[in-house]
Amino acid sequence: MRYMFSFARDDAAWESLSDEEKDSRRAKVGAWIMEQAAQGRVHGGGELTGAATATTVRFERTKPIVMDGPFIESREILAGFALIDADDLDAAIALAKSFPLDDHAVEIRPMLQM
Amino acid sequence: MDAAPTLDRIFRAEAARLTASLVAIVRDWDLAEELVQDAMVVALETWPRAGLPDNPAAWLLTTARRRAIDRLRRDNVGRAKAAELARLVDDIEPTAHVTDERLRLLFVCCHPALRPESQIALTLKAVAGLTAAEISRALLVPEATIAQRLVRAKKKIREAGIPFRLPAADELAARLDQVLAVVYLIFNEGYLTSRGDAPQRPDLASEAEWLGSMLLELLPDEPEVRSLVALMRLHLARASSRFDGEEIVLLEDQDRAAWDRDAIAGAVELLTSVTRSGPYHLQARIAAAHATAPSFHATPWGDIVNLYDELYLRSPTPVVALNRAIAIAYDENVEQGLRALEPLDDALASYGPYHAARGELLRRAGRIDEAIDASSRALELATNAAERRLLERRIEETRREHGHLGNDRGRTSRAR
Repeated sequence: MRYMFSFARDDAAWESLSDEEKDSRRAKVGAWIMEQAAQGRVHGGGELTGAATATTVRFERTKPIVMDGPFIESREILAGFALIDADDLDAAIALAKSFPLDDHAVEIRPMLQM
Repeated sequence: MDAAPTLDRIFRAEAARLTASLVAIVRDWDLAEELVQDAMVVALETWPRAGLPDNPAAWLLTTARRRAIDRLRRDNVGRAKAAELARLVDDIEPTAHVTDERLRLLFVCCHPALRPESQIALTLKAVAGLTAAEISRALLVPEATIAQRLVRAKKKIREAGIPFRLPAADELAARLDQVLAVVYLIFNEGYLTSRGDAPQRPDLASEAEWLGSMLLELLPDEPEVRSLVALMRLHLARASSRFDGEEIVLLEDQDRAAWDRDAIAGAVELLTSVTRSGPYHLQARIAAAHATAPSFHATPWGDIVNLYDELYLRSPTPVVALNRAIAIAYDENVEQGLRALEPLDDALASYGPYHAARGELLRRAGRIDEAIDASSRALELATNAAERRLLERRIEETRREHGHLGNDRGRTSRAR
């Protein structure tokens, strides 16, 4: 099954890190992703820029309205995502538990199977 | 032959095995349940005429699998599955591997990716074989809510890819804890219901005991499984003396002659071979200490305090600390018990049993006004009609005592 792993983090806490700290964490995630990719499981993904850069388009009475900001304003923001194949939810949970940054939450959602 | 009650009994016992074995193959929960229902209908038509088959369980399984094949052949998607099933129909061992499938089903029902309330409903439905209406009556939750929980849980299992297999070895211990927690929650909901007017719902407690016994049969060497089953059996052994009609009878006033001595001895026997002390083992040893004491006054309170100390080290919850404080009050004196309660005041401010216990200890310490305040707070928080009546009686008695003390200040201890 294909799952979308969404990685959420505290935006302010992340922004308070030095560039070196951010890079060292990115390297850990990069290594983790490469491990999964080596097994042919990864089908795209990446890190996102901060929530401050998000733009949302909503439709009000079919008229598109363009607004600054993400879908939901909260402390925890979507930091990145990856599309990963796993046999089942237990395998996906085991993968999520191996994610190297423990200040990130990982949401696992199955892609709709057509 | 009057087949209906027989079939009902067989069906209750076999429904979980049948569902589990079919779900493992067709991978569709609703379809599996439907096939089991169908097989039962066929049995109801056939058995009264042809007589009970030698192995009713195998008969039901074969019938359900044949129906599954018919059903799957009808749609193209199911062709491959139908072929797989056809192979299985000729190769039936009704006991050995089916037993494993029942265990697998229990682990799926208690999967941590399902909401706790759904885990309970699904376990009662799929493993204990209760209908949505029965679960609704047992849990005092509207039937539509139960039905919705079941639908959502099955949808999540199907769409999120929750697997129908036992957890991997490194996950098994944590997942087993979850299964035991669900079984014990069901037991407690039945043993002293948290809502409504009926003081206890013994059906739910015996369902939980049945689930525990099944786990014990499947995992006979797991210490915490043995301990939880012993714990439930120790409680059930004295269940009949806990109520006088609709009224709660406190441990101190229970008729110990009415306790089921054989059940108590069996449970204690179950515990003796357990060497590793987990939380259920400690709770079961506490229950055993109460159940084997010849009288309330002969209760080994010192041992019980030690067991609570050990339990608190493993699960440092305020409720464990509360029970420890009550044991201290009996082992040492009321003042020590009250002192042990003090640090819990914040954590248990809205927990009825805390105020009830505190009220009782204050009354025994002769601090009457405080005792009435605490018991009144417990009464406000009580969620069960029998508990409310018990607290009302206690407040009334304390008031009477207070009047009595006003006339005769020399007497502080109560005759009991």
